[in-house]
Amino acid sequence: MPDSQAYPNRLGLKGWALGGRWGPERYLFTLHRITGLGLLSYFLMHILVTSSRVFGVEAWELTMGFLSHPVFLVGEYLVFAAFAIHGLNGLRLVLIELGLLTGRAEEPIYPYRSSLNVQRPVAVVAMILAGIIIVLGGWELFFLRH
Amino acid sequence: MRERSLWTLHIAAGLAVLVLLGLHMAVMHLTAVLGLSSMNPAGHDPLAWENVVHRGQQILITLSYLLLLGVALYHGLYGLRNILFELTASAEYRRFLSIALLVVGVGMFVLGSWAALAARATALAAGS
Repeated sequence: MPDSQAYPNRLGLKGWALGGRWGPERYLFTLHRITGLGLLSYFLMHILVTSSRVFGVEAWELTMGFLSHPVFLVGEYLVFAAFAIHGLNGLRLVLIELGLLTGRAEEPIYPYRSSLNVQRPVAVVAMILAGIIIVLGGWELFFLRH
Repeated sequence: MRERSLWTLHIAAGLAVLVLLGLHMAVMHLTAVLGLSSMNPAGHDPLAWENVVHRGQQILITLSYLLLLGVALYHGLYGLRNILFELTASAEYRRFLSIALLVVGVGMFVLGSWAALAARATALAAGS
């Protein structure tokens, strides 16, 4: 059977944002991918940059001096925020993957119960927790550290 | 079967990353908020050389770096592989991609492990 012309099955990268009438969880999927790719890019650079500590205090302070520019400071904060979002949303995904948020199978008797009634609050709580961690990290980075 | 095992490992690695990276982020970004000053005794700046040396001298921190390096590289590169697999179903492309990402992962693991171990030696020498 051919794919629907309105909502084809394979949208490629466009499908991350333009797939149709999606609920908040589908946008969390997009956010999860964006933060994941950001974290991976940063992580690969982080391995290279932090290797400078091997060459002693001069090399380390030269590197950190370069990275003390406000642009990098904001970048560091974005990485922290991406970690909070990706980590807590990932934990939600693992709970769903393991079947812990789907409930038991039951007869469909009206009014129907949906596993979304459990999954949606968990998504909201996960993002509230991520927000609290992001605020605390920003407070330390911008007000307590410097 | 093989893909299912890789996917299960991806989830397990994700949970390990959440714990280990959570600890790393707490030490690097929430020292003052959480009262973890013993991890950074030279002040709230975790990037100060004295704090870098102090952490480098702790064997548990070095071991956690090595473990985090491995699980984070696997989790991240396997996730990237899944995203790139969606772009085309070509078996040849997928095999090339898998090998390329494996080479990148192993290479970064070797570099990162060397840096963590050599930095520990530097920190011990600086502290003695």
